[in-house]
Amino acid sequence: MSNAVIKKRKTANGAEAKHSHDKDENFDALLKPVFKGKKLTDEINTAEDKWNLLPAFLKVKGLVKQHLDSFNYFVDDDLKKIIKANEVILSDVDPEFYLKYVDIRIGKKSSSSARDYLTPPHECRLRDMTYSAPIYVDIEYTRGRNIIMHKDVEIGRMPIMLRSNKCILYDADEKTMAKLNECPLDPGGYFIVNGTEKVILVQEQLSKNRIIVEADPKKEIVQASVTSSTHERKSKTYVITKNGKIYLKHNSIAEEIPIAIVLKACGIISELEIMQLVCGNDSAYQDIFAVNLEEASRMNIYTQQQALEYIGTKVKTMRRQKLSILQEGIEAIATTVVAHLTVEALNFREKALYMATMARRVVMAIHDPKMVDDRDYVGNKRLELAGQLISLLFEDLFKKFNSDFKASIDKVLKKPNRAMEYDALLSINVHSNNITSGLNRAISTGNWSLKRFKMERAGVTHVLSRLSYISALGMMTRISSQFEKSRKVSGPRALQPSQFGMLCTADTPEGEACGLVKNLALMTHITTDYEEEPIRKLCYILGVEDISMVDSASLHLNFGVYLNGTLVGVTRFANKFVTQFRELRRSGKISEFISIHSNAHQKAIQIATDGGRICRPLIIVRDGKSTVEAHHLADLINGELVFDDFLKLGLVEYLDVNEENDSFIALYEKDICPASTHMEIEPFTVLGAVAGLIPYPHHNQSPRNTYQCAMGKQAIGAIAYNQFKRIDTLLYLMIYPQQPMVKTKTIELIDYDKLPAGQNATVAVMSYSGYDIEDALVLNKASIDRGFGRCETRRKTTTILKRYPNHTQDIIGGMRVDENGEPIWQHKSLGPDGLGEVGMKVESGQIYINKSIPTNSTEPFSDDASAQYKETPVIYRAPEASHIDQVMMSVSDNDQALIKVLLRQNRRPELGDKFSSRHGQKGVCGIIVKQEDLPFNDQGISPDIIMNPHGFPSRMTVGKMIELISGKAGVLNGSLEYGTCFGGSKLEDMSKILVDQGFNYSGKDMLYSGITGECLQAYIFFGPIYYQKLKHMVLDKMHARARGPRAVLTRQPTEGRSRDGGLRLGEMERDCVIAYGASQLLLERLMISSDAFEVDVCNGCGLMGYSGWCTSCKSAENVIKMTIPYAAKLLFQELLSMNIAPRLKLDDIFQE
Amino acid sequence: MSSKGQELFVREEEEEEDVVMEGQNAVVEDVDMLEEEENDQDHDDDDDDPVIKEIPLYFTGKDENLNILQYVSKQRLVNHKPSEHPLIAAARYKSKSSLWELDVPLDSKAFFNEHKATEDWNGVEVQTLKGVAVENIGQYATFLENEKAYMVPVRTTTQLKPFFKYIDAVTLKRKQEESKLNPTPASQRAQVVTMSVKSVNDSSQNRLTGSLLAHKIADEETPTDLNWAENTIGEFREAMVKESTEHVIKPAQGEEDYLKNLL
Repeated sequence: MSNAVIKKRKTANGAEAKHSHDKDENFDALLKPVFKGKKLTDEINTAEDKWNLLPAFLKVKGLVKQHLDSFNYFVDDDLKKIIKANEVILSDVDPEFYLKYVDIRIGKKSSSSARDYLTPPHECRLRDMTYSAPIYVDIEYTRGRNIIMHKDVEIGRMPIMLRSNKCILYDADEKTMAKLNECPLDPGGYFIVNGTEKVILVQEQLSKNRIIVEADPKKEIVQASVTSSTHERKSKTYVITKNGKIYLKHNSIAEEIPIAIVLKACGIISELEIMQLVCGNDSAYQDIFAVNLEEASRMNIYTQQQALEYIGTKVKTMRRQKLSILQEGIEAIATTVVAHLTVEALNFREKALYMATMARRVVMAIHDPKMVDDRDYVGNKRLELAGQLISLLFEDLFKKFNSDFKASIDKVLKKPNRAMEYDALLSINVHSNNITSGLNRAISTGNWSLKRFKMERAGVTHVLSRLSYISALGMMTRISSQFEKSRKVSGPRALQPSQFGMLCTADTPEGEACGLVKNLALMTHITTDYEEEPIRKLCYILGVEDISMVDSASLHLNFGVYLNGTLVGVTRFANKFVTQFRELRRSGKISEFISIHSNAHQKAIQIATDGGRICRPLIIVRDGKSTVEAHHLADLINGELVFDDFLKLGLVEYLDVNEENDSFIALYEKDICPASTHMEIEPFTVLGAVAGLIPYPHHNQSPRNTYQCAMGKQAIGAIAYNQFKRIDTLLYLMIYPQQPMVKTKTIELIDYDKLPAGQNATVAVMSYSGYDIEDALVLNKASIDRGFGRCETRRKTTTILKRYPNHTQDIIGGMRVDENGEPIWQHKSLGPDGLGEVGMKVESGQIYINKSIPTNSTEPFSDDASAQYKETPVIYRAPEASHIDQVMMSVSDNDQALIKVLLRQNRRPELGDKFSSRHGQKGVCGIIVKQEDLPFNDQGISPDIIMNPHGFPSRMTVGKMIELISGKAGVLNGSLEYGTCFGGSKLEDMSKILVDQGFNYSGKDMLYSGITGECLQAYIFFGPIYYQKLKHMVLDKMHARARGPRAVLTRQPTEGRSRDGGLRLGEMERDCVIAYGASQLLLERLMISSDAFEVDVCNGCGLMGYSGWCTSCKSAENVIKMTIPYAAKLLFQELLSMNIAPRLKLDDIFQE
Repeated sequence: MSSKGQELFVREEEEEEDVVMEGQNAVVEDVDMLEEEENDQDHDDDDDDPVIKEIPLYFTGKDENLNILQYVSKQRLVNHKPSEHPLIAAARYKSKSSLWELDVPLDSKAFFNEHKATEDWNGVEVQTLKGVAVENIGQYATFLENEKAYMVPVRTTTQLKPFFKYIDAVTLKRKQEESKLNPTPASQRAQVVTMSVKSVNDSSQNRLTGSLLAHKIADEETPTDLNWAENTIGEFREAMVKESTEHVIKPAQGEEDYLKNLL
């Protein structure tokens, strides 16, 4: 295919979309003559090459785009809305005074065109600072008689999400990134607060402002509930059945109100109309509902006023302002119930309809129990992202800021005779710290407390895991559920069919959070809020009849049109309306993220514009043919089209879960039938970024893929291009990481091949030496010598040199020298500045920061007597020596000297270190064998790892076997093979390569024993498999103790390796020893080696004395010395303190 | 009172429109929609739904104050014939809160409980219909005259619902009597009356917001009494046709701009 052909077909619509795009370096690879094994001149095959849309998608959207989008939306749009909602500050004292916020900006002054200078993110990491930008507001206020406009008033600092559009890394090229010490592959999407990287995890919630109908068939309860959420309040309203009758329930109304009374209170007085609204002309519904009308007339409630007064008497809200009963009733109906539809005037129709709809849904569910909603259905979920969470927090802090500001203004204005005109600007800066520290505190602790919703949420943020590139990436796509972990329910944890393509099917943790923590699939987008009003207008333009015009009798004859769950109109031509709406979306007239779907059961068309819906792009199919054709893909590859052009051209569109349900999606081009509406871009996008690393996952037993997802995050590898510049608390790095022989498309897309975590090991699947039981691996010593599995740990120590109120401060002392002028052993690694020298070896017991603190830090001391110091050196304690890698001295935010020392350890694999392949098959190193004892093949190759074949039958990881064959073929062929899910290099082709190269088709080789030199009895499955070294290493876990520290209270040995604790002989072990009859061992373990204590027991009174004297008997006559556990003595004394006297009666065991 | 006259005239007129609407809904379909459909020649549903006739459209009556009153509780058919709209005895309108009140005399010949009406509710003679006028954009009332469709914009629509004033009045009266007969200890107790001067701008002063404020305004407003006029439709039509000949609407934009501005 030549370019001339492409240029010829620039049709009318094609020409507008093909605008000239700026050159993008990230896309350069695509323009090279050969890209991913394809030449530009190769024929374009639609079926095969449509996957190119995926890199194009990721280029615009990226893996953490949802976080960035949400944050960008917050700083660009949401902040302005918050300012608008809290625009004016008035004074209670001076009616003339007002202050108005006009505009708000982050990190940019109105006067300058450039952004403010921000401390670069890496400097913030190193100096324990917060990466933030100033929040500027423009204000207009009165000073005396004048109105003053003031621009760029700083009201605080906002933590900035990395790579968002307020970040200095936004759109930065690789060169700039390198200059700023940043890794170009780092996805961003997190914050840096006080030097630590914090991620706000995506939160999953039930969708707001939508009716959810549930039924409990046992209790015969049907309820429709709606969680109303506005900027001001959150509340939940129920319409519930009780004894066959329908009631309204709300937290601030004392008892359930019959639904007929509620509707009457909303102005639907006529019972005929109530019946029409709820049941339409369906006689089955009418029969179910009729009983409710009797309820109202039994209470003699006929008019709206009576109904409102009835409700008014039941309201239990506390108000400062006294309202009459009628007013209470109005307030309850207008604002409290279904709070997201607040009635501002006299017209209650919208609310009445909403309530009637809820009742109708209940009636429908009573009539047909299948008409209930599923709370676990992904379409009923919304994801809350960083931007929304910060927005909630900011609004709270901003309100607090304003009320504080107002209070201080009032304070000044109250004084009657002020010398000069008061300038409100003077007091605004006083409170600016509240916003800054409020935001910082919330992000660094993860405690989200919102006053106006009375919401307290803990654990919202997490420290970004930098164990490996994948673990960081995996964290950014993680979704945590609000659901309680400890409850043993299966529903919310189960795999939902509706999560296809939206949430990864494999990536979830095991154990208590199983199924509650999910991960986004590769090609997803999370929507942000979009305005409703234009959409409502559009609906009317497209022929929807306004709900305020529709009479109750004809309401249910036609399809209702619901915008974000609220009825806005009815339409007779549902299908036509939906088609037209979709056409408008496809032509780019309305946002591509607005979804529309029809629900025939409820006779409803649902339009959603709200944020937090998961959606994904799909290829549009028209008339049984994919709209994306070969030339489109050619243009894409040539860079003439980008992903967004495909949206504009109406070739691809985003569908959310609900709309997906309304579509007929073909998996491949061959599956398209006349009814098809869409086609998948790539089936492997059902998996997420982490599960995408697995080669041939479609050949594995599903739990194995899940196990690999957990282990892939623990693999040691390269973290980022700037890994050697980072000073993290703990960092594991692999010395010689390799990209896998068998890659997947996902690996290339997420750049795992550039920052890999593992090595290609030549594996022989055979039994060897017996040290390979229980999945243990046999390692080749020569491989280890060559660097297989070698890694590095880097551990940080931070010290702050504090300043004290009496002008003393911590100091760093120099090194101490012996008589020869040589430093003493402890100070061997120190330099003259008292800090460890870079490159020096530090052994256990040596000092690497020689800090001293003043003995007197509180009282002022006289100048003549110089301050006394006490040494508090930082001593290195570990089983193995470390080297000093970096020493950093800087000044943190609060002006105190900050010292960071990075210690490095180089580790080669040893017995007990944990390894795993990419198929959930983990094993520890059981033995390290000399190369000469290992088997070898005809070429003289001996394996790096020997794996026991017993690992296969029960695990059924066929993918691992195919990986080996593909890998072996790749090695022989000099190519990298693919193991992409639902695709990849075909086994037949791989076998062909093997055969062509003179190997067995099945990957088995003839091996010779390294010990005897004889040929082995069986052919051995032999070839490369990508192995990951996991972070669990013996060196970090090994522990033994003879004597050591004891706990103060019980005098028993301490617990845990970090405290040099003892090994517990627990209850079950004790039982064994008892059963064995080894009483002396028991005595030794439980008392003598633990907390033996000699007490003086008085045989007269049975209480304990001391020094051979009984204090209660006032004699030494019957006092006997004996040994008991200190814990027992403690128990006796504690009982005594509770006025219980345990008395010991002593006897000789051996009677003479 | 000229405005009053106009209002009343229009009100009567729209009454006709209401009937039209229920009869042939397509006529009152949105204009934009109609145009769009005409533009979209390639629409597939045009095949089985061919254009039989083209009717020129005239926009008119831009200063008309057209209100649609919907009688929600009125039966659509009486003896298989479209029911007539009820006789209106009195009409009241509160302009600040756009509140309509119409009095319809009760038919006391059939199904009428004379006793209840006189004894319990102090002689009910009229049924009051009440409704809030809702602002309307984009709806037009259309009539055909000489094969031409004339479209007049509808300002507001109102759904009229029964409003049992007399029950509320009786309840209130009974309550007052009850409280007189059974004085609560609180009301009997001597009260200390304290007086304090409050600044007008005091924040602690009760401020009603939202719906409560709207109700207060509506309660305090005195309604304007309006006259009900019938059979003015002919005049109205003539006036509209006349207006349409006097003012010719010119398109300010092209089709492209129109489609762009749709959203």
